[in-house]
Amino acid sequence: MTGNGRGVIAVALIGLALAGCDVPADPEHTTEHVRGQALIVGVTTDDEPSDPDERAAIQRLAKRLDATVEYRRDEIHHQVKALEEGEIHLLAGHLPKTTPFAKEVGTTGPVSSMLLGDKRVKTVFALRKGENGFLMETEKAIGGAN
Amino acid sequence: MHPGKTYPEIPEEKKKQLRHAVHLEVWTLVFLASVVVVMYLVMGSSQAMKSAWVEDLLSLLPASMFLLTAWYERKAPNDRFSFGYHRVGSLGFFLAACALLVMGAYLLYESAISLIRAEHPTIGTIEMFGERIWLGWLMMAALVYSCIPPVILGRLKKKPSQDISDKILHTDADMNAADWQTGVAGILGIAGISIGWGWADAAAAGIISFSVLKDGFTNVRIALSELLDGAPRELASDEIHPAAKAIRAELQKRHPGSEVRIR
Repeated sequence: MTGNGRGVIAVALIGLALAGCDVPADPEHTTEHVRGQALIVGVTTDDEPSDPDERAAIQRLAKRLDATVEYRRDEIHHQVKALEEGEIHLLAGHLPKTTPFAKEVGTTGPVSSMLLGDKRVKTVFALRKGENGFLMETEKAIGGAN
Repeated sequence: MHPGKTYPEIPEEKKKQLRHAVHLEVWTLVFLASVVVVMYLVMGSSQAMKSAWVEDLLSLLPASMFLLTAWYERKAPNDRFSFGYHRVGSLGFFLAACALLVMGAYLLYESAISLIRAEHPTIGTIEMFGERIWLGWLMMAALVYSCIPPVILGRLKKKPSQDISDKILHTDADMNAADWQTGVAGILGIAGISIGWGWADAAAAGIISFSVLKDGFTNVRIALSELLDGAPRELASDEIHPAAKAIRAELQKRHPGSEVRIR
């Protein structure tokens, strides 16, 4: 068999193997931890996000995963650390798309928008890096799916 | 092409083969450019995708260099360049090889760093036809596409490269034909991410950067032996070509007592 033939077969096998799994998966199992339990959302300024679009997206995510929403308020650096450690699942509350913390955390697509200086920027949610399954659930909820 | 006044004309047969090779390289540029664009659109934060993209971008160089040479090397010699522009191709090829070497080393460094930091690449979704689709699947599709044109073109270029005995074309054909390995490594990396193995991405990126480095080394060696007027080599290796050996032996026999060198 030629090298190309082997390549094609390898790819086909991977496809078959993946079709049977829950993909994309979370390396740290965030979705599993939230499902049927509490969705812990970190906020930094108010007791819950002031933006109605953000609150609604969080509610939809909780409903998708059959979970209750629990807000935790703390200073931003502590929240980023808590996110990296898996102590909170999501960070919300007018986090601009251009957040300087983008290296430490993963971010979702745009949820809402805010005024930063004199510019209107899109806002996102932050989540633990690499939790691609949970990111997919969250983005589905942001997109309006219950 | 502008055949110089002082160069002997190349035979009609070879001219035809050269034209064919030029056509193939133009198609190579068109298809590889499409691969580069498709890959760029879905690249995201995967290290393996980034490495594969850089490799695709760099694989435009040998084809460009071949075309540059075909157009430039038969320009007539002049007062300032009294031996003409024969070496322009080798020089360009050398620069392209250096680019491969440097980028290969850089990509290897980057993938090693992300392997050590155990970084998990975050890959989001995109809304398409009313469905939320994980970008990883699109990346895989782009990688599958990136495997196809180079492999076909690489095979098509093998014969012309032997016909016109052109090192650059031959190396380019070889690199293209081996390009599917990069695509498969990238697909394995994304597949790894999809089942939660973040390290698979960095590992795949490492494998790809090795292949870039290897291409760089091979090409630098070939380019150097051409630039330093080494004896004519075989097309596919660094061995001296049997024809060169035979010519040298024959000349030595006909002109005893003189020294025969060949370049």
